[in-house]
Amino acid sequence: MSLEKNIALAKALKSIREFLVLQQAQLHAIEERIVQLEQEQTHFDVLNILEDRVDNLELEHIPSDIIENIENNLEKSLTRLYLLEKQIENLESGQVRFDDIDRQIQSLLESRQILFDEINNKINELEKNKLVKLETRLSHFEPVLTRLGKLEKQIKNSELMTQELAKVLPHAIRQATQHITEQMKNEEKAGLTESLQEPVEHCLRHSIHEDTRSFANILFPVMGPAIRRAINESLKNVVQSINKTAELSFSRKGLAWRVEAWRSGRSFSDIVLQNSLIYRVEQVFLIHRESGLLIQHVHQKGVEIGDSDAVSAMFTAIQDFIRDSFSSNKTEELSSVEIGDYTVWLERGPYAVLACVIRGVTPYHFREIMRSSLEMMHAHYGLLLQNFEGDNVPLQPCLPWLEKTLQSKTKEEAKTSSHLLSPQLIGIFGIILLGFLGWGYFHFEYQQRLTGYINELQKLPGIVIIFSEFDDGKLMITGMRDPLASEPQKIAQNYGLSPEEVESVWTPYQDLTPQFVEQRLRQQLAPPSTVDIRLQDHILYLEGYASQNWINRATSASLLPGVQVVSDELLETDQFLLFLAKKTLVPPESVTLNVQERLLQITGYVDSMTFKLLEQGIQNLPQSPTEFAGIDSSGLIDAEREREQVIQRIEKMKLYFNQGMTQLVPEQKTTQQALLKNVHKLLVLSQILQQSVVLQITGNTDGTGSKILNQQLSQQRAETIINWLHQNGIEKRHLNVVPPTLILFGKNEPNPSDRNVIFRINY
Amino acid sequence: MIQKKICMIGDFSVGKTSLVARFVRQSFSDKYLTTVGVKIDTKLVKSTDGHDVKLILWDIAGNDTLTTAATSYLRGSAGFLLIIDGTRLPTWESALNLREAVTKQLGEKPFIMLLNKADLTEQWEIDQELIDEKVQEGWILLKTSAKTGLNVEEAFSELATQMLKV
Ligand SMILES: Nc1nc2c(ncn2[C@@H]2O[C@H](COP(=O)(O)OP(=O)(O)OP(=O)(O)O)[C@@H](O)[C@H]2O)c(=O)[nH]1
Ligand SMILES: [Mg+2]
Repeated sequence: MSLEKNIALAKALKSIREFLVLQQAQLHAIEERIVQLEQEQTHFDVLNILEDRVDNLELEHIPSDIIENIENNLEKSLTRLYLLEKQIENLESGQVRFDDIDRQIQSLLESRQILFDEINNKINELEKNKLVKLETRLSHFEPVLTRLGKLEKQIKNSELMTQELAKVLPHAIRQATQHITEQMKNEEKAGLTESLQEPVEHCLRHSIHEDTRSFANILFPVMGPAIRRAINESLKNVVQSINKTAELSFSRKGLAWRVEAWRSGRSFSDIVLQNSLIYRVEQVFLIHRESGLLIQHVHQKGVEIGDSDAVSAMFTAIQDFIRDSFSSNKTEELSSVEIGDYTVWLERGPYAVLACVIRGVTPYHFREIMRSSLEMMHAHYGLLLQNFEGDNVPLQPCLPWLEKTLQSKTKEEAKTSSHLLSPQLIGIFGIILLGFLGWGYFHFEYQQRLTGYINELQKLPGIVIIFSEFDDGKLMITGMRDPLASEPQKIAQNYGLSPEEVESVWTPYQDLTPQFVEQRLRQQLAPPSTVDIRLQDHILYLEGYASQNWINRATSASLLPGVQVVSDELLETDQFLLFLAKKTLVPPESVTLNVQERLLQITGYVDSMTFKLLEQGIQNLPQSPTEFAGIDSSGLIDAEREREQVIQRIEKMKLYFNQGMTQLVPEQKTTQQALLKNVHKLLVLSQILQQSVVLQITGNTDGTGSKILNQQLSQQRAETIINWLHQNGIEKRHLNVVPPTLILFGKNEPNPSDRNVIFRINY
Repeated sequence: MIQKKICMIGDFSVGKTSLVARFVRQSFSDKYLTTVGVKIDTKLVKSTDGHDVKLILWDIAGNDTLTTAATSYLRGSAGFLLIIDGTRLPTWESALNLREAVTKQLGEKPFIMLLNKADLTEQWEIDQELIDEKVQEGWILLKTSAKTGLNVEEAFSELATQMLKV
């Protein structure tokens, strides 16, 4: 709307401006005319003066032609005057016109003003319309706003309700729980359980999925006892059933213990355990699992203890060592260590390890004591244990648990009869019992199984049945068997036949089918994994590589008659590895490869490029128990880099002289030796790299005395050093004097360190 | 009393065991018996600001890279000494690699770099520029000698101080 208004206004103003410009141009023309008229007026004044003067003139003194001329002129002037008068009249009417124009402008302006007012009114009207529309729109919003208000209130209410709910929720749940127990009696499904089951399950699953480890750590104190209880429960059953079996053995000791058990009202197994074991836990270490730092330490009175901190760390190191060295998947852990008369039992929690140093034989249940102590400590001080940083004061409350594990057991009688419960015995009893129980069931199919067994044996290569018979509840078999053939006993097991049920006599023989011949050869030769064996038409082909010993054995061994050995493609291990190394590395002539006992030695000087290539190649060489045992490339030297370093070293060196002399300051032997050593090395390296080399020697002076004097001294000092180097075996063609770029002279305060010789390498 | 575990890290034969022997038992031997696995010693020190700290020193077998075994031995270390043999420039290189590997393993921990065998000035191969560069980076470097005992006590107590600051 405002745009329309602006356009209308602009149009009105434009037409007013155009009109005004027109009027101004007319005014300008009138003004010019007035100026012209004013000039005419002055002419008019001159004429008047002239007339006066003419009147005063005495006509008789004037010649008649002049008078005539004047009269003419006058006449002309008069006509002009008349014309002027006319013009003035015109001018006056112009003034009238001007006034007229003025008036016209005025009226025009007035009419424009009216137009302007009209436009203004229109605009106002338009705006009013807009306002009305806006108002109607706003009125539409009103119900929305009220609805919003209501919603806000509702939200506030629900917050209130939540607060209220939070107050009553615990109570409600308690009530609901009571309800559950009542309902459970009626075996109904409780409402609360049902509605909570799914979200709780979901939460738990999510939480475990997100961070299994911390969940496991939280559960550690809970899970341990629970699992142990379950195991205990089942163990108890086993022990009790063993008791029954053991009851059958009426050893004297067994009977005595039985009486003891009966008298004391304890279980027989308890008494057996008590009588068979003696032990003493002498020291207990609680160790921070990650760092191996000792958290707490307790020990029996009178026990000599060393540096328990070091011991604690050592236990940890041993565990690390065992895990890294022997556990294939790095998860198996060390649980006990034997040290002389002592056994150390280790039990691990998430953040701490409990180590008990025990003398004697410890009952297995002691582990449980250790575990539960560890669990208690984790349950109470898990966070402190986790964040342990070497300060053990806050963890002193762990001491009572440690002391609890500081147990000892003595007994009057040392001889044990633990064989009553030995696992072997348990096994035998178990098998007999199982055999006995199974007998009835198996008997039914017995005959069939026997036939099946014999049929299968007959089909097997390397087994020949000569005679079989069922006699006195036993299967008797006589036959021949290649020792490499399948075990008849194992097959019997497949048919559910125990060794007692089958009596067989096998005479060994050698089966000559290729399958057995090859297998026998393999067994006889025991080829390493790097050798391929192939038997084809009585020819044994050997391919690959092996130790010289094995090759000798394989090629000279008396094999089966008629079997010929071909070992053209068999190489001695080191020879093979050398070949492999050469093929992989393709070393230049300056490099020597040598393989001995599978250890590759690389020596020689090479340029940087070759050095890098060789280094990369070395990475590709296989290292394993059958391939390279190791690669020693310490003798392989990057001559370019080495040379660079030697040059740097030489160029850093300076030799100092006594004042005004060519004599070296004493006590520079070390530098001199180092210089010689490095120059020699440089020459050798340059020769290897086929690069020329010149050692440029520059003598410097302290600047006392004349320029010539200093110049000479500089030259002499350099020559002194050249001679000295030459005497020490360096050829003169490698040495060169280079004068200093700046000769100091005429100095009053000489600097002793300026009296030197420096070296640059030119190549 | 506070205990802190520290590890001796460096290439083989740089003098880790010798430094520990000098520090713990004030002794030195010219014989070289390479360490197998790890050797543990302890010693009480006073940090430069007067606290007692018991150092549990893990002297790990030297190598130019971090072996898996060494990685386990590092666990829980509060700081370490990074040792090089000043007469063998390559040990400097391996020390830098080792430090990187150790830091990857332990996170940023206080350490001090020891340029050992400082008594062998003739064979010294480490330029001052190398040292200055590291000092610029904020490292602490000390020239030590297990033979003469130069800076040995200082190295350990400085490390103790650094560890207590953390
Ligand atoms: N001159 C001198 N020799 C030293 C110094 N420190 C160690 N050595 C010698 O260097 C050799 C190696 O020292 P160790 O302390 O066994 O070296 P390491 O770092 O423990 O070696 P690994 O256990 O193999 O990793 C020994 O012969 C020491 O006598 C020293 O400061 N000065
Ligand atoms: Mg060592």
